[in-house]
Formats: sequence, structure tokens, C-alpha cells
Amino acid sequence: MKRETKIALLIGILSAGILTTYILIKNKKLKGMGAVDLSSKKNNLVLTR
Amino acid sequence: MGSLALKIPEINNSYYDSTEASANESKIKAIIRPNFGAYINNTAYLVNLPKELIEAFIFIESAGNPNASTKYATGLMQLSTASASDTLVTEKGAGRLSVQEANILKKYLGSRFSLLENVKANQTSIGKTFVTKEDLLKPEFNILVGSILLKQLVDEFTENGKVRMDKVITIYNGGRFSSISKKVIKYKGNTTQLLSQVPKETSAYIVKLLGTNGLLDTLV
Repeated sequence: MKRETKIALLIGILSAGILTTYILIKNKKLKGMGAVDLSSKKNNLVLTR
Repeated sequence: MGSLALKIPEINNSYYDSTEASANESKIKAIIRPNFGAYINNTAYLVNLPKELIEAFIFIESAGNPNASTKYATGLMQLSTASASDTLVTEKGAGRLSVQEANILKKYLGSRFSLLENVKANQTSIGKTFVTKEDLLKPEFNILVGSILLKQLVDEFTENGKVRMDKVITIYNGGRFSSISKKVIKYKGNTTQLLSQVPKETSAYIVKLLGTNGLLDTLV
């Protein structure tokens, strides 16, 4: 494989990695904490004995 | 929409003895219910939380003094302006803010309510504190925002159909980003085991609420 092809391939892989990380962070999948489905709102909490 | 049950008392430990428990009940009946009962009942209905839970948090946080204020927190449910702002943005961003809740907020926020109208889906902060101390001194506003935060935490820390009220209390009390909260969020043990993992003040708060002779034991 030509040196130029290897460099192009490497740049391609790195770009794809950066793009994927960016999208995941934007969608908060890598936020790590508070992974909650707040849209599930309003389950009824009942205090029992 | 499902139903979550929280068994009271949840733990055997006691903070109050039976005499103190009766005194607490009397204070809630004499101070909190006559002055703020209408707001508490309406908020309990709007956010879908038991009113006793809201009363218990108000009692522990401020003993029912709407002017209770420290450097960090204000009013009946002791909220900070930053935390109140982010709570409202999160609620709006999650599509959880009802028309009735929005109408109450508009009454106090006025033109600032437009900041909430521009919140995007899943947004949790606008990077700006738009709730003021003066807003938080208003009982109706304070109870609504505090209860919205409480319900967000209840929904978030429900594990396998069981509410981890000990985690809810710790995070409500210390803020989401405190080192104690970060530790507690990931904690795998049960409530009794968690008590030995947190500072005395935090464990006292949990036992005051969930223990034998605790506020919920007295009120429910």
C-alpha cells in the first residue's frame, strides 16, 4: 500500500472516530450520569405501610 | 404510567423518639398546613407526588419558614437560584411541564418565562440563572419548583421498580455534583448500608424522613 494511501486511511479512521464521539456526546450517551428517561414522567408514587 | 410503592417506615433506625415525632406532627399541622396547605395539595396533584412527602421536605428544609435563607439556598424547600433554573429547563426540555405548571411559573417569572419557551428537547441548562432569590421567597413558586426537582429525582432514582428515596434525599440535599452525591448515585448497597457511607448530616436527613418515628412514619 502506498504511503499516501495509508495516511489517507488513517485520517479517515480518525475523522470517523471523532465524528462518532461528537454525536454520542451531543446525544448525551456518554454523559455517564443521570441516564434517565424523564419523558416517562409521572409514575404515581404511593406511600404504604 | 405505572405506580411505585414506598413502604413507610423504610428503615428501623430512629432519629426522633415518639414525643418528638408527635411534636413534629403538631408543628406541621399548626404551621405548614394552615399556611401552605393549598399550595402543597395543588402541587402534589400537578407533579404527582404524595403531599406528605412535600410536607416532610418543607419541614426538614425550613421548618415552614418561607423566608429561610442561607448563602446557598432560599425559602421553604431551600433551593438555590441556579438549581431552580436548571430544574425548570430540564422539566421543559423533557416535555414534562404541564399547562397548569407553566401558568403558575408565568405568574412569577413574567417575561423571563420566554427563556423556558425557547428550551430545546433534552436540554438541561441554558447556562444562565434566571430564577431569583425573590422568586424563591414566594411559597407557591418555591413549593412548585422544589417539588418538580423532587419528582425528577424520584423518577431518575427508581431502580427495578423501587424508589431509592435515600439517593433522592442525598442528591436533593447536597446537589447532584457534590462528591457525596456522585458516590451515592453509583452505590449498590441498600438504604441501611448506605447510611454508613455518607456524612452524619446526610444520614440524619435520611433517617428523619424514612426511619421509625420519622416524618413520613408520622404523617402517613
